[in-house]
Amino acid sequence: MSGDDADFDADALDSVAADDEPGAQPAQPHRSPWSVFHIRATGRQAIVGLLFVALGFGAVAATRSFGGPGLLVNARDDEVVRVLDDLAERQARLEVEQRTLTAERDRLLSGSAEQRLAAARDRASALAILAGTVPAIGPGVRITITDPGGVVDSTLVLGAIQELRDAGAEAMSLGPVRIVGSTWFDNPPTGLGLVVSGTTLSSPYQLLAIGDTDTLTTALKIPGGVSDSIRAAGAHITISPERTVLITALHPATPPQYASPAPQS
Amino acid sequence: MIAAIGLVIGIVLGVVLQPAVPIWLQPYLPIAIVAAMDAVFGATRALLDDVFDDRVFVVSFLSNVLIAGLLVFLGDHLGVGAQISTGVVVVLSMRIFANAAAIRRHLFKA
Repeated sequence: MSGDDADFDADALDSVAADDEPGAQPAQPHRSPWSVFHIRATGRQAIVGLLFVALGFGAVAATRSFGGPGLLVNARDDEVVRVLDDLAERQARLEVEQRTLTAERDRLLSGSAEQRLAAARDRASALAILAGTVPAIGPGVRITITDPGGVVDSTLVLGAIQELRDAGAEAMSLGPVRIVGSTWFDNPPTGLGLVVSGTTLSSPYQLLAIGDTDTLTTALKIPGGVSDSIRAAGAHITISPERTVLITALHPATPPQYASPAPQS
Repeated sequence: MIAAIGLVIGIVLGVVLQPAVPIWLQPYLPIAIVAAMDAVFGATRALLDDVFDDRVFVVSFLSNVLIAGLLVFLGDHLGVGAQISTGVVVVLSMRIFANAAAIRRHLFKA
């Protein structure tokens, strides 16, 4: 390094002495360190300026190209392939959904009043099941959790609910409480039992879920999953697939206080 | 002054045009920029030492960028591109720090 610097300095000194070309500034005996701050339109200054333009431009370009898809820059080949596969699959799914929805929209736009009414009714009943305001019937699973020791807490039950939701459960109830989006779980101060949306339940808990029977059962029986953790905690769980599960628990419909439907474009 | 103006113009151009770096240039651009910064720091030091010269700066700037690029290119083809890139960046960074120390001593006498 130091050798190179010495070379740099010697070279520079040499050419300062020979810097009397026409068009250049009159030679000064002592260059002020700040002389570069006066704009001089010589060819070399222009080149220096151009180099700095290139430096700034390049720096910005490099910063941009590395700031963007940074996740994939360091990814291994198989990871990138997996990401690509996921994206392709997702795109295919979304395209199917788009086609379905477009067809539905076209049908509604061109349909007669009865057709529109039927579609609206279908939609209303689908939403009613989602909101838990009507009883629901269909294939599903009946899960009974017996917990005499009070070891099943709200976290475990919430985990079971989430697992069922992930597995595509369309309607659920826990004891007399219909499980909807706003249902909440808590542990009572005594430690025994479970508080679900303000209702205190006690063992045994009966959890009903309507959905694809096989998927729901498999989801609960994943090794290390819901049923394993409930058993590990010291409670007893039975999962019985049933062809017909009737969910009669209802969630009272309360008109929203703050939200109202936004106009659709 | 012309350097600062050039730098600002370059940055503004980069932000406005939003250039996409071609794939073949992507391994070399960061190295080239570090090499160019080394030249800039060397030039600043020379300026404070009263030995600055445009010609030397232009030549050192271009040769720095070129040599750094060639090294990485060679390393890529020998299969040690990442290691050579690291090595080049380390050496250039050390030079930049040495020059920055000299500049600091000049400016702040410390």
